[in-house]
Amino acid sequence: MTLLEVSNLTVKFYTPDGVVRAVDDLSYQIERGEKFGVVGESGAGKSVSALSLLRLIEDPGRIESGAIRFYEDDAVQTFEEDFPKKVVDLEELRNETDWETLAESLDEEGASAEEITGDSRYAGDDLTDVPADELSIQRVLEGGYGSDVGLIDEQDFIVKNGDRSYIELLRAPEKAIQRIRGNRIAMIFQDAQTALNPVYSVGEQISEAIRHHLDYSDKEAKERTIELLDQVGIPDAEARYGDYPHEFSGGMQQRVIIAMALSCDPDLLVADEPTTALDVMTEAKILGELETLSDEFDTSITLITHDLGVIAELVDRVVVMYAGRPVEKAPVEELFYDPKHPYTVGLMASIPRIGTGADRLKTIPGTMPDLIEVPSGCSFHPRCPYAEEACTRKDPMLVEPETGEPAEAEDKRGVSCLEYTGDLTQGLSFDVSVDNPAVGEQNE
Amino acid sequence: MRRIYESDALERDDEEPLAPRERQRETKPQSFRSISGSAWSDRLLPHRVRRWAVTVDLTAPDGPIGQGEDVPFQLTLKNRLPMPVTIRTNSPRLWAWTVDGAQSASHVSLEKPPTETNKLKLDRGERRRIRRTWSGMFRVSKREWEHAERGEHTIRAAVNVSDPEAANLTDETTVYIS
Repeated sequence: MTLLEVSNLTVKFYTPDGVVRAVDDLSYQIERGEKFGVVGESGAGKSVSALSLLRLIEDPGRIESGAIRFYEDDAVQTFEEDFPKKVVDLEELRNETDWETLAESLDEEGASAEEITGDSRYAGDDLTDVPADELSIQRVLEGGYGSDVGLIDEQDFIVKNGDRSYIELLRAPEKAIQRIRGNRIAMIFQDAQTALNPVYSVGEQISEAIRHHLDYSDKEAKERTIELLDQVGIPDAEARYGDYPHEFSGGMQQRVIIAMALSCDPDLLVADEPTTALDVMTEAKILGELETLSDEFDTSITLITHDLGVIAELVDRVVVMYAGRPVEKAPVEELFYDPKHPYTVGLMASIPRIGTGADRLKTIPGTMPDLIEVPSGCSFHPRCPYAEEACTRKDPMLVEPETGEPAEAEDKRGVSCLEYTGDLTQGLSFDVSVDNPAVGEQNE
Repeated sequence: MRRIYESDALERDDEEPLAPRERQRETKPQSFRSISGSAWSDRLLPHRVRRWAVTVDLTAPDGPIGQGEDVPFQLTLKNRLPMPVTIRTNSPRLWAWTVDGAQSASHVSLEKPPTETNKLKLDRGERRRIRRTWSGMFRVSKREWEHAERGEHTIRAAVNVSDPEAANLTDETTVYIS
């Protein structure tokens, strides 16, 4: 069952030098209890996409379009009671809407037919020429036109769509988001030392969240904090409760951040490079803890990392990001044994291996493009060994590799390379060889 | 405990230049660091003067450029005044470039900038150079590009204000694609 769905998320930063397109048209969904990985080089938009989930993008960044839907019945119910005027029923909207007027208003607002229908056949058409049954209310709302054309109120954020109800996080007021942050969706930040407040004791920082979200008394919150510190492996937790962050080692600080993230039993844990600054022993321990906690409490985990080893170890499904866009998504085993995108293959090839006899480490030539000036066509083409002329002129969609049909958020596999839409003449010619041939297969 | 000043532990003479001494300053401070220049110029400078103060200059290679090659160009924003200036822009995007009238060389509008203003800030006498590259292609749909035709093309850059021509906050240059 889906817990969180990110749909066509676009985040831009308006800097003095130009507009940085940090995340562009990102869609994925996370199932309940699933461990989901986001992998890519530095600057691929991994952290920005994670921060967007909690609406923590700071100026000059703007979440320009898209939707983040949080399907948690408990939370929806509570919010429905607390914000009764902010509820929208999509069924009712569908029945009440006059499609012709809607199409006209959308045309006036500058919405494209392709965007509203999700069908490239209608690219460049006027919306009034598109059959009414092809228009989707959901896409109108996702495109951010809902309040512009008067379909919904600007503040509506609780959406009932048949028997599935969800909270639209990008529309939710700050008050509602504060109740979700740290409570329903928690985050393990990248740099523990920076994330912890140096003037409060670590115990207080954890118990503050518990008192705020769970209405615990001071004493109960302290007890729970000590329990949590113990759980994440802080020795003599009771004595260390009053210690300040500088009195902890890097690994322990990271554990404190994890304890803080787990303090309110979140439904989704967003871990932004939780082990990057740690040595391998601590890393292994923390990954083990995350896995145990996910299995024990059915918590979904979104793990953001550039370390493919961590991905292989922990997650079930992966999305590979490049220049703010998803280039491949797949279940973790398929990604490692049968990568489809040249970038993923390049990443796999650049993992150091002992005993292969190779003189030099294979790397992907070049660097990630400046996100102010993303190359035309496929943004990976300047670095791609298989790039052809078509790659400079055509931007590939995320498609299912077998069929070449556009991959939806719920599809398991998706790859954005022109090879899979039949636009490449030479094709991709990489071999994937696996030590255990029973599991792997060759891609010619 | 005796204070260090009362002790003879410190020598303050010219023979021992590294020994601590009381700071003697002969020059008076030239500017007040506690005053925010940009805040005051924001309050005092009329918008007309601010727009006059900023010049926009766009340069691109003179010679012919092969079809399919990148076209580098450089935008220079300069503040002529000895005080900071701020120009209010229509959207968070501070400036934009067009090729033959197509914003960012795109015939399709893919942007939906938030409906809020922003400020282009330039320090006193600041000259800001921004280098960009046009790929020599026009975006014709969300996912497709086409090579620009051979011939002359006009690249124009403008600060994102309502009438950049009237305010002289725009410049253009031509490139020849052979």
